[in-house]
This record gives sequence, structure tokens and C-alpha cells, in this order.
Amino acid sequence: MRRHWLIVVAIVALILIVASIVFVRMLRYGFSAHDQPTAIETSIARTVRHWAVPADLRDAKNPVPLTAQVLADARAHFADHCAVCHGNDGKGQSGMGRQMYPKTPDMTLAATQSLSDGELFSIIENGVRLTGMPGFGSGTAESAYGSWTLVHFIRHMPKLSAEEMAEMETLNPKSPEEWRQMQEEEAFLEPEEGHHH
Amino acid sequence: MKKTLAVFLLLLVATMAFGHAGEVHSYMGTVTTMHDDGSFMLKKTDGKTMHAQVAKTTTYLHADGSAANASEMKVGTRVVVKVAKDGKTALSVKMAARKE
Repeated sequence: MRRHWLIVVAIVALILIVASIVFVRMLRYGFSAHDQPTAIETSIARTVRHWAVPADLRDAKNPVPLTAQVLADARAHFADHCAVCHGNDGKGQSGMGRQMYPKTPDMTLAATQSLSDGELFSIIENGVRLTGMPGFGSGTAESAYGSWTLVHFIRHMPKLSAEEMAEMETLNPKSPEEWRQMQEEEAFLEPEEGHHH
Repeated sequence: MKKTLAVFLLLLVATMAFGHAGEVHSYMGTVTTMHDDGSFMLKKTDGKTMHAQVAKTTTYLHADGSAANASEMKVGTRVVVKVAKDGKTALSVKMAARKE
């Protein structure tokens, strides 16, 4: 019996020591968005995110039929509105995505791909609190349709081709400097007959 | 305690350094040498040369965005190379059509 108490005291002492180190570190260095969330934070956040999805959406299937045109429209929509944070390939390796806390996820991985259609839809429409993900839904049928098409595109992300990526690059929002660079590159790659040095 | 702080500091510095990595740079130029491993020398439009390495993940495209093969790239081909992270390995190579 005494031995059990000793184990309990040791565990409590260990928790207090770890908590103290974390607390001292926080006081000394503050909080930074450069850090990676701890496993505990990630686990809590994913659980709460799951709870945040309305019950009637959790197992909902995508009501928009998948066609080539739907996918092309969603790809263009994503390149124009979402890629600035998520990257065209959805891997989160954008200038914005890498600096966020939590970092934008690699949506080609199981952590995202294993979510139901309804969960993905809810995240797009309602956003995720305490992250960089805004709620893009406006409550209209048009908004819902757009979000369901994006769910199709998220499912397609792991199979994105180089040609699709190249097309998306032309659709990404650009600064005047980036437009100038793109036009310069296009002019540089014109067929040799029409290319003069 | 000092060791713990040192580890935390190291992690913080590493995280910050990683945060600045990964910027994509684009280079325009003409291929001057092709190597057996697929890498190539590029004479950039500013007159300087660079060695572009390639990886299995490097994608090759025609100027119109359609997929191309690495074997289509020859000495004299004008290309736009997007390079990331390490400053050497090509993410994508877009090549101008050659008139035969």
C-alpha cells in the first residue's frame, strides 16, 4: 500500500516538475507562432474540432456529383482563394501556412483524408476556432455548393498532376511584381522562331 | 536547468531557421550542359551560370503547361527553373518549344 502511495507521489512530483519547466519557459520566452503544437495540444484541438462539426454533417456524403468540370472549377477556386495558405498541392508549404500556429496541415495525409465529407465541408464553411482557418460559408446555397466542390478537390489532392499544378500557378493571386515575372517568363519561353535576344 | 534551457534555445533557433527556409526562386536561362544524372548547367539571363540538380519529384513541363519528359531537354533549350529550399534542386523545369 505504501509503495502505491510512493508511486502516486512520484508521478505527481514529475507532473509538477514538467509543468514548472514549461511555465518558466513560457515566462522567459513567451509564446511564438514558430513553435510546433505539442502532441497534447494537437489531440485536444482535433477532438474539439470533431465536436464542433454539427451532428447532422458528421457522416454526410458529398451531394454534388463529381465531374471533370466540377473538379476543374474547384481547382481554380482553390488556387485563387485557398492556396495562399494551403499551397496549390494542399501540403501547407506556403509562406503563410508555414508561419501559422498551428501550421496549415498537409491535406494529402490521412489526418485530413480520413475526415468525412461532412467534416471537411463543415471546416470550410465554419472555419476552425483558434487557428488560421476562417469560416468561408455565408449560409447560402451558392456558398454550400462551392464548399462541397472543394471537398471533391481535397479528395483529389493526393493525385494532383504536374499539369494541374502548372495551371493552378497561373490562377494564384499575384502581386504586380509576380505578374511582371510571370509575363517575363512566358515571353522568354515563346517558340524560338519568335524569340529574339 | 542550463542543459534544459540550452535544448529549448536550440529548438527555438532551429524552428526559426526552418521558418525562413523554403522560398521558391525562379531562374530563366539556357541549358549549356546536360549531365548523366539529369542535372544541368544553366546560363541565366544575367549571364551567370548555375548548376541545377534534379530529383525524382522534379516535374517537367512545356511552356503551355502540358507535361514534358526530362529527355526533351537538350543543350540550348531555354528553361524556367523553380528552385526551393536548398537553392539547388529544381522543383519544376518549364521548357520552351524547339523549332526543328
